Amino acid sequence: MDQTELLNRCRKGDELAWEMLVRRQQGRVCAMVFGYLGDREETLDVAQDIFVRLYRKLDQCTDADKFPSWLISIVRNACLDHLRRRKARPPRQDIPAAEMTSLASSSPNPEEQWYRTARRRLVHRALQDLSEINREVILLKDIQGLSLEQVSDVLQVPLGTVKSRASRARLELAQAITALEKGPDGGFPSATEAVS
Amino acid sequence: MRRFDDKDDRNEDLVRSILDRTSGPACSRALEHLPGLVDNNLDSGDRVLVQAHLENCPGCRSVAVVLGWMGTELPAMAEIDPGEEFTAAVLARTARLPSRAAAAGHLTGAAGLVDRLGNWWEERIQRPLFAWQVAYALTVLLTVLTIAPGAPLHGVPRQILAGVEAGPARLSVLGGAFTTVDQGVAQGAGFLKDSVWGGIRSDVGRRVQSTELARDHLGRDVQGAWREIRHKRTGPALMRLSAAGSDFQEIWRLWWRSNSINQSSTAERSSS
Ligand SMILES: [Zn+2]
Repeated sequence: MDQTELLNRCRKGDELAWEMLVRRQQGRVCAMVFGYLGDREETLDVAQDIFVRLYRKLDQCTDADKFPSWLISIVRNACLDHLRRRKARPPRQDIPAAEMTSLASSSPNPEEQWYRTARRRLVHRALQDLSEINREVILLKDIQGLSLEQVSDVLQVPLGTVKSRASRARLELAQAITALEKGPDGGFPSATEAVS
Repeated sequence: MRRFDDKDDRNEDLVRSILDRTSGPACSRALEHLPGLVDNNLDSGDRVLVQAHLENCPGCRSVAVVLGWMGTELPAMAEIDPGEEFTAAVLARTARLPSRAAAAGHLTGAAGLVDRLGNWWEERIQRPLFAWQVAYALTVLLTVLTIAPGAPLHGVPRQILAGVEAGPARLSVLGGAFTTVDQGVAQGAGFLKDSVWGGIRSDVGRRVQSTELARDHLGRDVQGAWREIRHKRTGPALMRLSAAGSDFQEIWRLWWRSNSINQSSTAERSSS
């Protein structure tokens, strides 16, 4: 079923259509939230809230073409909101890099399964070291595949700024990953074994 | 895994010492070009030079290697399977909400009214103008409490009074009530000046932006409180209302954080 019809049915209260929409979008929504928050439990909570909000706001998005970037804006707002609140709480999820290494070598927990590969774990860890705007450019453009124009739209910054940030952000991420690999404990050697 | 024999090592040392005494290491320039190299959009001259640098610089080479695999690894991170439990939890939560048909106005009786009120509030509070109007209403209220003879809050900062100067003349939602209060305040204190209006707009835009997240949150908490009230869960309802109170405080704090209503309006007046 195409997106326009699916959205129309959802707006009319068709529960089956809503279920399909949730199933179609949940992977993307969770990946984005995880990119922002870096914590599995929080991701699941916030992602649920996002779907509840989406359900209530469906009437606001009348153009199916604009649905993806509209949804991304909802996700982004919820994540920034959550991060703002998190700042007010005592830190819990600031796991030092060394601990991450030992986590990686211990038996797999649910969060480990989300990383799937050593490289992805490295990327997530390194993303937390980037500036906010560079992290968002990576999340939206390089991971979610948005165009420069869409990124500029979602972040509400000029297109020129996004263009100049795009390469810079990627380079900074690569440097942060390289630094982690060469960390005090020798990092995650498996991540660079297979070189493309 | 040594790449060079002794002669190469000596050459490399020589190159480094020359660079150290002349231009300095070329790494930052090489790094700048790496995304272009990986994306294959460097001109041929730059490409040759960067590749030559990479052959001799292990530091830049490892960054290039990472950039290389990022190109395939990042897009593969666009989705995460949260599991069937997640889907079930979302569907259970949305099933408890008023159905979309009800939200459109088909639910009758007190429950329908409460739902509609909750939805109305959540939609409204996320609109900048409405949030501004609410903040304004509170300002007017506070002002009345402070300038009336024998008022309990007599002597509040002029900053708050300045907000009243900014009073909206056209209010789509509560216009009539505001206008009445407006006039009372204007007569009582002489604060309502039309000339200030133009200068207020840009200032309001900024304040609207700074309170966006807090407003979003207030909407959610109030909506949550309505839901709990409707299900007769007093404890959770009180908690959500208390959270909404904190949200309102946050909006209030952000709204008045800078005392620039007077400044910006004065500046615009003098520039026009
Ligand atoms: Zn170099």
